Amino acid sequence: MQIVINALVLGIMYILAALGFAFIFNMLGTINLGHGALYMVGAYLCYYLCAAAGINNWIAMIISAAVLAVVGLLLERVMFRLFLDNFDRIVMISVGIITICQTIANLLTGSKALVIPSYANGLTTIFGMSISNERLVTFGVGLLLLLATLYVVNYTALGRQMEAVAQDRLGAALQGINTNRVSAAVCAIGVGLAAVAGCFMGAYLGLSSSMGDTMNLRILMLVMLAGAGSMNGIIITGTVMGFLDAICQMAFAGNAGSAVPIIIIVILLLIKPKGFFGHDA
Amino acid sequence: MKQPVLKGKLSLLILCVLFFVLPLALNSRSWVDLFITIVVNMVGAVALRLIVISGNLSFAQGAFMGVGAYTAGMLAVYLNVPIWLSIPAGAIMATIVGLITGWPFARLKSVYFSMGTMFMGQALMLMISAWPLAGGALGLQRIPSLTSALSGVADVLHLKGYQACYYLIFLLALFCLVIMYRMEHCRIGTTLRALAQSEEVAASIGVNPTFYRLLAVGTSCFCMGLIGGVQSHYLTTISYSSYGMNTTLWIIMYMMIGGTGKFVGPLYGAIVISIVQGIANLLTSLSGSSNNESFVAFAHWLGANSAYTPFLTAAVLLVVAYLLPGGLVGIPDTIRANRARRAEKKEAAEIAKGGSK
Repeated sequence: MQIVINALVLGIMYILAALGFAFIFNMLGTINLGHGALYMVGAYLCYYLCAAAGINNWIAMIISAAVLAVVGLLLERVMFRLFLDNFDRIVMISVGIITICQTIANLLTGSKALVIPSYANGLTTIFGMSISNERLVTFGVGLLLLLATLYVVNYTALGRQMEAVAQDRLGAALQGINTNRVSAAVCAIGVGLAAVAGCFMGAYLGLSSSMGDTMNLRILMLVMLAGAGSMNGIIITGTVMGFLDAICQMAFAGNAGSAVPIIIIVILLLIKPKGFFGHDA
Repeated sequence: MKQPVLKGKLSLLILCVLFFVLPLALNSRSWVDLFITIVVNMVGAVALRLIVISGNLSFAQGAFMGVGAYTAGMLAVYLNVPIWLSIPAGAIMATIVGLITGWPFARLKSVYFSMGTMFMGQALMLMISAWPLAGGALGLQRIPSLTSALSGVADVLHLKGYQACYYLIFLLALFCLVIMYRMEHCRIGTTLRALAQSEEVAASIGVNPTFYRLLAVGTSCFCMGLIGGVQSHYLTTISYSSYGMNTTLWIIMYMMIGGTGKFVGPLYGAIVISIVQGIANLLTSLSGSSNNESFVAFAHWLGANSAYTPFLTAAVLLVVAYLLPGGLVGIPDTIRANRARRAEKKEAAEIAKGGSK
């Protein structure tokens, strides 16, 4: 039962981190390899706001998400808008960003084990099981943000504009949609969500300079597995990914625990390389 | 249709001579180590470019290098296979793995191919890391050393051990580079470029896309495996983490910084970035035998701050990404284009002035 809780928490965090990546993938048709690095920056920022500046960690999380949202805006302006049709340049700039973020993280952490202070203490007993409040809070906030994002995507003007831009950028522009503004908004929301995921995961698993890489791989896999243009697909694959990770980490020792899920995903991708839920792009 | 033999090959020839003479002249281990790194990275970048000219960007190059390295290393460690057999075995194993994994991916395009190969590479390396025989998380240790295997040759040629190793790696790299150069500059290269332009058109005139894509992937993996195998014997200890995502990304960066337009591009990229990455180490070890005080002080300062060198490489990356559309090899073109644009602007301004008079 504890596995189910862990899997759900992991899954919802994967989904949160992946949403921004998926937005960019769907709307701009390109991939942002730096997404994991930004997720890491969110976590580090939150840690230093809590530990060094002594701010309450919920406020620290909001600040870090807001800062990262601004970073997302900037990123859209200096990277995606300039090189929309040039995958090579975007990869280069992403690797530049990854290198800078990781180096800073390495310089800051060194060999220390940093953990963001817990968001909620104590245990709650539900149906005779005790579950740590931390997990419950993480899951609850994650679910809330996910529902909010789904609401924005499905029921607001911004969501409809996003869908229009994703389907046909030029056509959307002809209809009077400011495509640049929509992509900027999407980048800001996406990177901000990744930062929130980073803040929670930093409390759950601790900070390290490789946390971005680990998450990046997960994000890429679950977005690819869901396929282009599918939001519901990401929720399903994210949950599956969470369960795979939680179960395999219990069942296999050491590195095999991280190897098995990836091998399963690769096999699934070989069956359907363009994802299970998306339209054929 | 006879072209001058040296046309467009002068820079390649100069590079070749430099890489042959310099390690002999700079008679020190740290220099030779740097040169080995450069040569290995060169092969990696050029091998990647062979796949790139067919229109796909592979993210699994580091993993194939790892397959070659682990195959060669494990054959030598567990079965006592001699070096001259284990290195080609590594290359062949990398080719086989590359072809088997490349076949399902050959039908994918652009981002899907890149991501598929990325997961593939990660899965391969994680499998190796979880395999107890391959040394697990500690890596494979006590691989028979290339230096001792080549000690007889080194004595005959009056070379130091590490220099003999360098020349073996250099020769293997040259072999790979010549194969890939010939491949690109014959009908196969043209076909690959045609596939990048339009697979449908190429298929309609009788080109088998899968065959040619696999040919490129196979050759590329062969070269990666060969160089990985020889490197594992040189290093004697290998770890799966040195063939992971970071290595792959940097191989891609060598290629992109150099520029994908020409064969020499990835070579320049590998030279520049490898030197930037290795300069702190090099100077620190050189300063041990130096008498020049300011040089020693500088080297120590650099060594103490070597944690900051990634910023330098990132800066190179960003400068190239924003300012040099053709990479390093495209600098003359960029300058020419800028000059032409400026001249045009000037002309337009003069015309406008003349019109207003």
